[in-house]
Amino acid sequence: MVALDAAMKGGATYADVRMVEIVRERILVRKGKVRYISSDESKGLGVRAIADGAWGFSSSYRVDRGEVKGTAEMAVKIARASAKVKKKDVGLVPAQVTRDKYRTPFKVDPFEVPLDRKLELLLGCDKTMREQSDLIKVSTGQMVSHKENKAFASSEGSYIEQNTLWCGAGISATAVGNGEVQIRSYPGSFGGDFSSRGYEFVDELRLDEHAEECGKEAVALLGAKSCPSGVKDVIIGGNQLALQIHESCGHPSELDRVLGTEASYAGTSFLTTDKLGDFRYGSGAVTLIADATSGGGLGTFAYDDEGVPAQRAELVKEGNFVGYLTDRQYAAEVGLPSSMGASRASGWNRIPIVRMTNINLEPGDWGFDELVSDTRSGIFVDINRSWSIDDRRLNFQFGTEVAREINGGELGALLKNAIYSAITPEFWGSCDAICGPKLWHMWGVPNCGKGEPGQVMYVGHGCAPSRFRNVRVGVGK
Amino acid sequence: MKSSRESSLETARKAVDEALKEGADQAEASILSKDYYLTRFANSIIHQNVGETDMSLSLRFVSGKKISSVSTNDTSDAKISELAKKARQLVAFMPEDPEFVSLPDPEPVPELPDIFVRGTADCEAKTRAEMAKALIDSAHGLSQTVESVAGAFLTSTLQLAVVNSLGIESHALGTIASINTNVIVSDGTSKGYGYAADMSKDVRDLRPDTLGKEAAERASKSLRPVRLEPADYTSIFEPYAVSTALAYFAYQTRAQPFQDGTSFMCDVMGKHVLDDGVTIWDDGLDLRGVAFPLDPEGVPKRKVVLVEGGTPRSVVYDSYTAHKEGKKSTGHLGGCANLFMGPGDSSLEEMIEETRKGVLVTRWHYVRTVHPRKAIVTGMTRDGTWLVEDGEVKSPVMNLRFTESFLRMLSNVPMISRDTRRTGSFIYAPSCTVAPAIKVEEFRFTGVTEY
Repeated sequence: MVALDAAMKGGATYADVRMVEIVRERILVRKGKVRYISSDESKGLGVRAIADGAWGFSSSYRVDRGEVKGTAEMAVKIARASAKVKKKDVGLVPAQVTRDKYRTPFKVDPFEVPLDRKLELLLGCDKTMREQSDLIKVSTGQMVSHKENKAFASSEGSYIEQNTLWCGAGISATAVGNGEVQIRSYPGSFGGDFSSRGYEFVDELRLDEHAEECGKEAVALLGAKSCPSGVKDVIIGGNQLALQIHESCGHPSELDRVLGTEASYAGTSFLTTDKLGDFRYGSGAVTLIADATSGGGLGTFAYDDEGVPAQRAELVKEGNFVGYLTDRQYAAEVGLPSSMGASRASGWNRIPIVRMTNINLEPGDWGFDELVSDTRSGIFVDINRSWSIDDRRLNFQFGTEVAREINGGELGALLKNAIYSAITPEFWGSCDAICGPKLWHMWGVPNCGKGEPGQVMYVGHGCAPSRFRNVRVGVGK
Repeated sequence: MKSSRESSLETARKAVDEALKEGADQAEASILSKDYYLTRFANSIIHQNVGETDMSLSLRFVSGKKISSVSTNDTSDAKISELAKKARQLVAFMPEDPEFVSLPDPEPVPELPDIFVRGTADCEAKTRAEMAKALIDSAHGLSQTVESVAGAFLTSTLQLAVVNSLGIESHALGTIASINTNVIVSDGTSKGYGYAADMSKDVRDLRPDTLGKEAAERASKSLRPVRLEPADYTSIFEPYAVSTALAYFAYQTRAQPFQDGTSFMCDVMGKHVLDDGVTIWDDGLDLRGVAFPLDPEGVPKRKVVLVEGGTPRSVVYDSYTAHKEGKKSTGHLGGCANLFMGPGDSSLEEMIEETRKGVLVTRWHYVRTVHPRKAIVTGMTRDGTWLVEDGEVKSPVMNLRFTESFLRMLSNVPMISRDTRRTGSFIYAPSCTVAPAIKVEEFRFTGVTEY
């Protein structure tokens, strides 16, 4: 309460404080060696204050009484400076006053699992991948365990403690030959897959059962046909579709971005406020939900970093654009009655901004085999390799690690260097089939970047393989 | 900065001593302290204004050919002792790494007192607000069509202290100030976008009013863009675009992808494959950029010529990758951070005058590697893209997607500007790039967006 008292005595009309401690263990196995086992801890507090109608934020790693008071006073001082360049006072939609505690449910604490067990798994996978061919030049196994203890208090009277936890792992084989570099990862690229569950999630990944396939397929890709250029029907696998949702739905529906706050850095959004409730984002098959209550997502919590309860909110309903990701300030800015609870900060030293929670594509009722057999000619793509999208989130181009021909309703030959590109609403408008709940999976994305100073946030995307008609593939080769 | 040079070194020494007491054969402690203040503005108001005081203590614990690493931002004696114990516990699980030779040996680190500027370190929120206002007002003053001014104004102090058990005791203290701005204009039916940025160790070098006008002028000239079909075009890239290109190019000049065989440098090292005028180097000591004399291993940064007169010459090393080749570290743990491309004898105006049909590009956006070995990247143009015809800038065009190889791009560079520009690049880590404008023949655009 020292921070809140200091801020309010200093003239703040609103203040909140977060004390956060983050502990992260990272393991990287590379080419048969343990490249690192690192244990990183960071703790401190961040104070946010409104004074003279404007925001200020200050943070410090030192949490002694004097420093806490000084940090709060600095937040007010910065707010007063902000007020020199304002047009109107900051307004906040109401938030219920809450006193609560939350803890991520899990069975096995990943920090309690012996390191030798983790290393045995990763080194075993690494060895298996390299054994497949001398052409495997890089093999990696990674594992991350993350826990966060956070206390939030606001001048409105809320006090919330949350202990969240997530972990995950992945393996990857890189083959080099014939002037090509080909990668195969499992279960996803850029580190694997992650969940706000305990080590039972890592066990369920069964990394060891997929290492051989990763190695073999990386080598097979060196000699595979290049993905043809043209307009094709495309079935997108879950891992790639998760990133597709992230880039072309998640980011453009962040209301702060829509209102221009990221204009000089990441850009703005095509989902301008005049489109809310009156814009065809996708086909009738497409319903996208922001759901911080989904089990196991990296965007799963009980309260956001403004103390607003976790919610399930529609962004796109049967193809119509119906909602934004919001915080209290920007919800007020556009006249919404409340925030849907997407204000998040990546640590004690970052100001909360509008972030994704778990942005999920609702499942359809197709089986995967049924979907393939219903596709006369096309390609199947999965596992992201490269991604790029314009600063309004319209024109995108994604590359995938793996692709397969679809001919006469059957999966065919392996294809390398698959790329597809489109304009976002046209692309989602071409979605005509989504697989059912059995194939729906919550993917964990731990590396979502936004803001200045940069904030790397962890978010979730639940989805199932889906089909998109008449997509431009193989461009740019 | 709450921690002094001596207190930082003393804390690092304590951590190394604790590690040695725990049985380490070698140990290294680095302490990165920062005071970081950022004023962000958008819609012509300040909307985020933040301050941060942080430090991190990283400890590497070496036992034979085993290494563990741990970090914390708590430097109490008890925590340092706990950290060393944790590092010892972790190292017990590590298998031998036969390619590890040693932590780096001590070498003299050049003193660069000029990289710390008191005026930047002491810059207050009020001053940043006044400078942000000056920028916003200058942009609005240029044209009634200016709708919104956005940007960020940073003042930061960084202190790095490194101690290792082989005798390294390195320290550096520096400041950074930077501004970037994006101006949006509107005529009621169309929007135009413009950008400007600058970076220096000294906040007094920054000219917010000049940057506001520069971005507003670009934005005003970007209204009502026309669609240009994607194809290969002669392209003129302003220094902002070249800066981003160089940062991505340099990322593949780290020793690790070269040693793995995944970098395009594997195929071109020592071969004259790029245009004669292309010379690229990294020099952490060059004050024309934002210099900082040591890397996080405490090794002095050396000038490394990556490309000389069109011939790729070298990659950059940290101690681990250097020792694998029997070399010394070039002081590049973390990669290039003060990157330069050599100037030519032309100007942006001459490039435009000598172009029959081409594209003028302000800035690259969201660049990603498509094929590392072939140096193919994709990305979008942003904040000002124009069609050039018959030696004149004819009209703004909708932003274009490119998918192109750096090797192809840099082998077709008939003109390079004599003037260079210093900009901040935050691609993989905070860094500075000093880049000219360049003209490239047959640059491949593969898509177009709707604005």
